[in-house]
Amino acid sequence: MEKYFQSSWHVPFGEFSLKFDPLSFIFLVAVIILILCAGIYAVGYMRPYASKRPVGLHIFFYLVLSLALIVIVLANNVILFLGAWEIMSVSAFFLVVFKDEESDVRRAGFLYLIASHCGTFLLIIMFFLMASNSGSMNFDIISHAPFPPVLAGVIFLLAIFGFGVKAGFIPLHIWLPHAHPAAPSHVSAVLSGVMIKMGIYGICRVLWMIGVLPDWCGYLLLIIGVLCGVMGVLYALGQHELKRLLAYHSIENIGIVALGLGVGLLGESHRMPFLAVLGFGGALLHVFNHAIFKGLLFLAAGAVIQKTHTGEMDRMGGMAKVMPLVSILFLIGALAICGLPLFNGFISEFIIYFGLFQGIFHLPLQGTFVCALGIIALALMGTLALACFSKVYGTVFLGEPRVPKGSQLGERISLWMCIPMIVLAGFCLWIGLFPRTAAGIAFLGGAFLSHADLLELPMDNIFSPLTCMIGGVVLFLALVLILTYLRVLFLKALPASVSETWRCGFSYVTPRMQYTSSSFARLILDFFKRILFYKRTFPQVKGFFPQSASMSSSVSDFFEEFLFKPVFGKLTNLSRKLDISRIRYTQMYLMYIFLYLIILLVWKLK
Amino acid sequence: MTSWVDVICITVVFLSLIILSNYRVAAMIRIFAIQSFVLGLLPFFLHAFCISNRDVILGVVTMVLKAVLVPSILFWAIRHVSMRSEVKPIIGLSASIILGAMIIAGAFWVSLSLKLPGKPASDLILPCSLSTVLLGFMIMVTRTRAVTQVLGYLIMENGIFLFAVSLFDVMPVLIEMGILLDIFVAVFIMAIVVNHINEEFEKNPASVTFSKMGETF
Repeated sequence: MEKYFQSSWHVPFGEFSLKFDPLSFIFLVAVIILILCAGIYAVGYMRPYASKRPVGLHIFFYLVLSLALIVIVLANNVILFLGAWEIMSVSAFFLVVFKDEESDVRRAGFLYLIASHCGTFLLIIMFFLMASNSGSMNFDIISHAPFPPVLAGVIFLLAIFGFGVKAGFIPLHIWLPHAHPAAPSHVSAVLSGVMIKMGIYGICRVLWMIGVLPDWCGYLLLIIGVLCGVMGVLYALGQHELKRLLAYHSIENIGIVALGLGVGLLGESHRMPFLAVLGFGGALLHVFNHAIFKGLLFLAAGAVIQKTHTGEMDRMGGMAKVMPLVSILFLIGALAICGLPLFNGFISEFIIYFGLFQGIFHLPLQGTFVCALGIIALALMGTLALACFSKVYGTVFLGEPRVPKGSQLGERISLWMCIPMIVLAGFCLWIGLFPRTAAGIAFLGGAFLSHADLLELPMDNIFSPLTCMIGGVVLFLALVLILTYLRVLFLKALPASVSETWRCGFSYVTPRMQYTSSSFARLILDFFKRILFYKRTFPQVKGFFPQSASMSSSVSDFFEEFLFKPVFGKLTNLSRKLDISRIRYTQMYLMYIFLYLIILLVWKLK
Repeated sequence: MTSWVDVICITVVFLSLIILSNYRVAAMIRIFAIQSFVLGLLPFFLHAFCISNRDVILGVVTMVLKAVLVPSILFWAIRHVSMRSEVKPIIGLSASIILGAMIIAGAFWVSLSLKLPGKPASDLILPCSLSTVLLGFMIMVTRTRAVTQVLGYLIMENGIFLFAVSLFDVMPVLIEMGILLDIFVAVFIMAIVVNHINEEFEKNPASVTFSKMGETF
């Protein structure tokens, strides 16, 4: 299933060599589906901006980004890969800063650009280490060379940090919750759906090239996955802004993918091909699934935001009555991301669960321990995600609109925006109901990654419980539907009285008294307040005629507030002290040239 | 005649050092004129007793151009630009001299081990031209005015001239002339540019920001 495309390209050490294999196939399909859907969506989404902003430039960078993404997953040469990688980073920057007059957006854009270049710096070191080990820049030749264990470990760490910046592994994720809300919605969908997956793709490609790694690498990835997943979903619970919340959910899902990759690595290093294929296959399928449902969620969120002109969830509400189709589509995405059966998120999480259970039974003691930890974390993630999306769906779509009556809502959501969402929702359901095709392709990719032969492995062991389970859920749903229908049928004769909900004796009820997203999440956040630094500020209400008061709650991202901000503040101060602004700049640069010349002269003499 | 060549070489280095340790622009230009004049004498002493037409042309043109025309343009430039005649270098004067001395020593040390294709007219030519070039660079680094930048550049060129003229007889006179013409034109353009900068910044009250030029943030 491998195909090559070669072309001449006059760049030192570079060759225009593309390769198509099962690994790139999965990512390529995800990229193309999401790029097309988000692109079509953009036609409707950008229409209001058409006369006010340089939309043509935006589309240009969108197309450049698409091309770069496709080249990345197909590249078979280090230079080509890094070139496409940089083009992707830079064009994504221009897409993020679409609303560049807002200082928050500019700040998010620069944060993203700096973070991504720090990552690329590590990647360049990593790739050159690999190339010097094998003597070639070609991925195929690199993969044939044997790696000494120490070098393999160093390369693995560099890959985790370098690609982890793009993927959003947790200490390195700080750019992600800023960049995603700043960008237009279709860009957030592409960013979150496929661009951060390029980090995962890079890690997979490196794993494939190195071959067998020592087993601490697998444990490390598992721990990273647990940390990312749990912290990501907890931070998401504390957010008030819709797209920021979704961005934190991307971190959670990256954690799930990392869990799968960790299981795969453990299977590979302990020579258990079935475990390896389960782990890698689950991770790859989750990559694809996440691209689909996160794209769907971002597009639906964009439609809501375009309608309400705000991203604050506490100002929305009752959107299900205003835009029923979008609310159903969002619900499908939300159910998929929570990993509920009948939707695609369930399939990949089930495979990863299956792998973790296999690990518990067949791995040595520490493996058992870590896998058990993974199962607990995965269960926790699923539950918290469910809580989080009940909060989102409840506050945004259910209830009454919180905006004052008569305030202007945006125009109708156009067909251009609906069709891509319907297509994505269709994919969610298709994979959820008939998982055999997609999971089969994912296992093919997993077998390719772990250099195993798929035909010798008992893959039916996983498909039979899966189909059983889906069948059971479908039956149960059908039963519920039939019972509901019967109830409606039998009660038709008795007229039910229609009246308002009981107001607890309060006579003047306004939509502002509904549960807000903050109050919904408060119970859970209070429970985790030590690790989330959850703070609520509210004034004491006193007297018989209290004044107006306001309450706010916030969750601080530990890694951003207590790790990066102090360190970078210190660095900025230090560099300010080192800055010799007394010397004019021209003279400075002349001096550099002068010193360089002298060094060259002296060096040449030796 | 080698002794005369040696004398010229030493004088050229010495004069560059004096320019480096000076902070009056007018004095710097005068010393530069003297240096160029001394350099213009060099072709006459190069080939012992047979002075060719080429040497005469080269010497005379150098003297006229660098010792007379270029300094007068520079004088014209500083007269038309209302700038202070004293320019404090970034590094103090005594420190500049010490640095200059170190550079000269370094140039001598470096040239000990440089291999040349031909036999130079004097052993001093290589180290002297090298130190002149480096001292010219030093002047460019330590001074902040446009005119002093040009002076540093011209002194560097003098060093290169010393190197080229005395080392190789093979260089065609046409190229020499072309280089001299280039320098003349460059200085001319510089004078005009300096004048224009001056006019612009007299008009513009924002000249305070000039000192911050080059800082991007």
